[in-house]
Amino acid sequence: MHDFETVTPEVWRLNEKSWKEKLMKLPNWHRVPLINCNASHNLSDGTLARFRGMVQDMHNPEFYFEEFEVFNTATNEVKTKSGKYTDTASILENEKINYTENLKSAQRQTMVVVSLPGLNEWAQKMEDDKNHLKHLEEQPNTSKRLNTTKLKRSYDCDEDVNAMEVEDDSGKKVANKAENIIEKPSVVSREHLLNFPLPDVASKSCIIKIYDDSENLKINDMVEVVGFLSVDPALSGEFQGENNSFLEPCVETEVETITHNPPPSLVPRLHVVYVKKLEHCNPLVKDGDQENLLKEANSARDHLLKALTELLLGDKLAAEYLICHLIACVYLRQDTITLGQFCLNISNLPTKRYPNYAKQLYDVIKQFVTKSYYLPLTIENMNTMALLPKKDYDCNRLTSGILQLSKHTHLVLDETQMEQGQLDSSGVNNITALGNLIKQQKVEYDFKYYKMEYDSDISVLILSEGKSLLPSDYHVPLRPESSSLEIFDAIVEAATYYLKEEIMNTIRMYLTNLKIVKYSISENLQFVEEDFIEMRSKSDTENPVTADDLHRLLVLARLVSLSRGLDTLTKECWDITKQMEEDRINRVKNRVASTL
Amino acid sequence: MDVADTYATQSQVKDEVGVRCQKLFQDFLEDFKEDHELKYEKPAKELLKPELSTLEVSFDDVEKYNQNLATTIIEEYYRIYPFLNQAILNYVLSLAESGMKKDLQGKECYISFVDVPTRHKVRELTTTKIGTLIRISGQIVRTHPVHPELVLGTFVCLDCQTVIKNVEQQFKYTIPTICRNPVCANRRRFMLDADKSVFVDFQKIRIQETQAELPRGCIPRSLEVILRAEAVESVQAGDRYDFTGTLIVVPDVGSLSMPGAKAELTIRTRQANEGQMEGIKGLKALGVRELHYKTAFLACSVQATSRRFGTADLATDDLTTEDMRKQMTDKEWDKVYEMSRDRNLYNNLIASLFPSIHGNNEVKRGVLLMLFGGVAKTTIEGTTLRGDINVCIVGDPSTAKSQLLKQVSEIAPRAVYTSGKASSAAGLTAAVVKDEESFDFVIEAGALMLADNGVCCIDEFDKMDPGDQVAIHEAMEQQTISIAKAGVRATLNARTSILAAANPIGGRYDRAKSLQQNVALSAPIMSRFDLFFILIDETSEMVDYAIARRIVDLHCNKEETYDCVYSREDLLRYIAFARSFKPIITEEAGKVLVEYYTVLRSRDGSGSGSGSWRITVRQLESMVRLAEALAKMHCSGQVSTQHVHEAYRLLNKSIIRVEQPDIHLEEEDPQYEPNMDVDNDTQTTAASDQVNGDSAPKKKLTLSFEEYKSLSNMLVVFMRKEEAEAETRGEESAGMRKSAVVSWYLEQLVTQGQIETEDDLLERKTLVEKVIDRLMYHDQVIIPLSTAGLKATPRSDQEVEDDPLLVVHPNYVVDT
Repeated sequence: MHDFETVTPEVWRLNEKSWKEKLMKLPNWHRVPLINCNASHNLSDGTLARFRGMVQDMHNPEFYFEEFEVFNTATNEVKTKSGKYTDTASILENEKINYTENLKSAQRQTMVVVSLPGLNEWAQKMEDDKNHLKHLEEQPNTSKRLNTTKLKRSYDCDEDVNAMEVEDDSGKKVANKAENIIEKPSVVSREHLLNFPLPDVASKSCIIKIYDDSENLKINDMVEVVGFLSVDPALSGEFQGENNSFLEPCVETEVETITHNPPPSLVPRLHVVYVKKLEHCNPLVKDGDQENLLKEANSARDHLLKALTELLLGDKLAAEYLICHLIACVYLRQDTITLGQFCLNISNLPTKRYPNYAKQLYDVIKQFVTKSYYLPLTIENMNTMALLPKKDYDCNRLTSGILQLSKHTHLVLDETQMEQGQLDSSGVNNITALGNLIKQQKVEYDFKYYKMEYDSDISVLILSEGKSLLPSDYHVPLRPESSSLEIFDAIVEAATYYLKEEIMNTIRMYLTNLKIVKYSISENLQFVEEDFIEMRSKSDTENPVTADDLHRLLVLARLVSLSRGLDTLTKECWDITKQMEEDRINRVKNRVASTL
Repeated sequence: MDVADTYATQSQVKDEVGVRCQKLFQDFLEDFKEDHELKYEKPAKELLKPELSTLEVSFDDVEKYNQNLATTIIEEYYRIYPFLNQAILNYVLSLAESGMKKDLQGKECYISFVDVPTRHKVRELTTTKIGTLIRISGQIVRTHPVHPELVLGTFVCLDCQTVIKNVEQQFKYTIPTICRNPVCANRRRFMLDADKSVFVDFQKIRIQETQAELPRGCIPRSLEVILRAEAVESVQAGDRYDFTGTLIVVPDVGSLSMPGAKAELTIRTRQANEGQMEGIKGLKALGVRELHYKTAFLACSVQATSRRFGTADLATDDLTTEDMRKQMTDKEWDKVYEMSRDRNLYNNLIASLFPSIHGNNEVKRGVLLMLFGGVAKTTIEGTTLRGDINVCIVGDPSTAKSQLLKQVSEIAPRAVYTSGKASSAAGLTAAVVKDEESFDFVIEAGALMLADNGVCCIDEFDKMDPGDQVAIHEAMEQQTISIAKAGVRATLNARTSILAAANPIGGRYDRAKSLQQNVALSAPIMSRFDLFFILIDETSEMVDYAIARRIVDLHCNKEETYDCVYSREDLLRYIAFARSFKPIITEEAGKVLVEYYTVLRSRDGSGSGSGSWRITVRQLESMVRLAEALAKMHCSGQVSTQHVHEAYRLLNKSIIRVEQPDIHLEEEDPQYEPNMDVDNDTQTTAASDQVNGDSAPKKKLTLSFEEYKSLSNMLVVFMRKEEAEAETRGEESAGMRKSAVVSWYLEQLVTQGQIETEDDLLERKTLVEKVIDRLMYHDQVIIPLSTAGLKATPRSDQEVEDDPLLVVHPNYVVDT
């Protein structure tokens, strides 16, 4: 009898259905090693492993032999083998594959999955604590390896990839010169192979091969996959043979081969037996029923409101808006309308006094949310960074950009860092891209010959001195209390003290839960309609009231209700909402130049 | 039997199906006649030339000739491919003169099928499709240089020098399995004799799924396509082509390296490579073999993608109705038929087209007709008259203009959305740019060109640089773009409808002013739009309630509230189908057209000329186009009078009404709020009644704009004259009493004989009083003077209020 630690592809294949059922019932998922938290060189080839991440790219389907015959020339035996769940066929030296008969071919879908971009430290740490399997490190189990040399090699690959590449590189250049191949010497960095959306962030990536197409994965989906690990070093593109282009015009350039076949120690392959789409990636959140989720909402909200009000220098309105922003997500797309987006612009930050105020604020926010990214909006960043993913036809893959983020990621743009300067064309493109993201929640991927829009769900928070140059749905000029201004540093300290781990966890759960919770508006919203008619009748050229305003109000009302643990809109919340908007609009109108 | 014979017989196992097909196909080539002529004789003779080797065969012909053969070719294409080639070769040889036969030794011929009916998506090419004849379309993203490919190899055994001929190569370098020399046991050491081997031109390209085929949220897949012989170098990266051929499995070249050309990468691999057959490398020596095989598409013919019917492109001008009928499945055809019979088609179509946009039905109708388009014509002199309908929407902010445009650009397959603010003329029309690699000048398509045969949606049209606006003059009327720059002179087609949106000057549409004064567009540009719609953000309880309801429903996510009668696919298919009609104007309809045009013209002439809008032949053309579009919509081959009626109504609605809206001087409305029939968001029947009421006013208190304007001008001119006279007399101009003005006006009418009865007089009196009131309180042309304090007048206050002193606003200019 096999268990999940020892099951092999062959055994699995024999009774796929029952294995899968068993897997579903598995009480302790985390016993299946998670590659994100365990070094892949501690895991053995051909065993089950898990990976969690975001679908970054989809490659072409791969063709494989589901069944084939091997003929042993020594014993004259004929055996049937399968290429399912494995990259290589384990064939003995004196066995020959029968390529002409009894072949059954099939195809599997290959995708590149990268670890969740922007996953915050606390979440990662929690995952590590839960999933790190100590025993793997204690006894590097050589037994399941095919042989010891391989093990050694994969260590090599993993630990000094860079060193090895240098060595390879120099060696290759010589070889290339000798053969007079036009191809550029392939200098491929680790970052290039990992292809992670965010720069300067440690990440892992994994090539998954999916046999069952039913899941219908989309780009940027969050997934957790279980599958058989394949870390055979022979899969690396660096070991591919060269071929004579005179006789076999090659399709792939060297760069492409290497990009598509990175060293398995760096990018392991997983032959997937089960894919789970993830709604969230908060390790604290268990799938519970809606009532329980909402019950604790109010206490969590109180804590959060208290902390944020203090951090926003006593500005309660801004804190309310920030809470709404933190729980907002896109909930409906229809034709050209996207509902639920909540881009918040908090302006009038006291940057003169606290130049790093925005960063300090972000440092607190990132403690609450599961995924976030802080992007200083400087001229240089805009001109040099790659925000939009771009198809690289040389390598035949999608080169990631910062805006390739999975849903519910918080993007914090710090405009207080902006200075005067000249934007070049890529800078202008980047600013346009940010604008489109904010307005439509769509990111345009560059396919060279055309551009294509993909839906996204990224909450954008803009922190700025004046009104942001980017559009926003809600603009709140901060009104700091002078008493709080004096002691901001002390406030940060106090907040850190106040936000104990326990409270933090409540808030974290609260923020994630509210994004998943179902919310409905009852049919009868007479008060909304009446209010709108009244607002319209008062509207004039100075203060025009349009349909967009009603959209904005309804989105805000939804979040106001949700944040208070209500799953439907009540008159009370509607009035609060109206009051909030009124206060905010008054503030925007009476905005004075920042004197801070 | 020796080994060599075994080898020979193995390779010569007869494929009966293949042989039979070869026979049948050769018969087909020899027999098939079109118009009593052997269709393939001439092209086959061409193949006698040494540089040609491909025969193009229409699959339709094969189907006509022998259904069984056609089916076999479809299903077993790859298997019988060599036999088909052989059949061609035999046929070609049979045509050759005896003297030439010798030169033709070793000639290879290739079949190239065109017009294969079934088309597949790149995504549908699964392993089950391997070997069958299919057609796919894709965008070329990469081309590789042309190589010679070894087809038949001639080898020399290095041990015994035996020459082995005609070793077939299957996408990889294949050496003979064993030397033919029975005594030689060599299985590995052979040398290729390149001079005696047969090569063919060979090019690999990579295509990518087109946008139209791509499921939402997926990354386009790519596929290698192999082109041979004449097909090489016929494609360019970036363009879209149709490929006919079959999916084949090739060994992954990367993993099957050959002996002799080993990887020199690392010592590790080199050692492992020793003594390996079939290119097994590295660790495979230790018992591991990779199982990577790849699929590629072996194309036998390449064609630029014809406009795909239904899904991909709207424009199917080159397709006839009959063709289109053929391309549809029965179910699709039933649906189209059902739709064409729909009595309420007009409204159902616009409801399905813009489900989430409230009201604005006239605009939607206009846009719908734009999608159908009129009929393009060419006069005897060769000038082309455009069939495309251009629509412009002017309106207050947040009246769903942009949404309308976006929606159109999403629905219509060949539509481009661009913003006038962001794109300069170069971006809109076409630009000459220097190619980075070759330093040649190349023409880069702009938005208008990209939307050729489609719709170009330009938002914020008024924000465009005036120079840029001029640049699209040509595109709008002549439907071409001319470029003369940097040594490049070209006239490019831009047969596109333009859907533009513009904001009024000052952000809000001022109804007191004319259209021209409201929009920052030059008259020539304005006249090129067939339809002009004005959207005014008006606050009325009814409309606001409807909007609120709509938005709340949306937030409730109640999709069923949308009365989408037709699905998007059905809609597109229907539009594409209907577009193929070329309706002809009936005599009757022609008469009505002439009538309406005269009406328009005469009204234009008789009006006081306040509007800069002149009714010209352009408007007649517009009316024709709209009528044709309506006929198309009903899938009718003829333009009937009904179509003309609606076209006239729409045209009237769009330009004339807006230009000169009726002035209602209703008595019960003390503010004299103008309830003009500018296309506001009302759907109320009352409003539409007034709309349809045309120029004949229902109440005497309703004035057409021209009448109102002429009346007010008359009054103003009179008052000015009086004032001037008073000044010349040296008196201080004190203005006129309202009663004096009224009585003067009535006198005028009486002298002209326009008033006959007392009732007439009373009616006229009230009318002119209302007009004066309107001029005072609404237009503020006439200023009532508050006399109190200035002069001591014996009149009571009440009298003053009833009969105030009036002066004309000093800054008012009478526009004529």
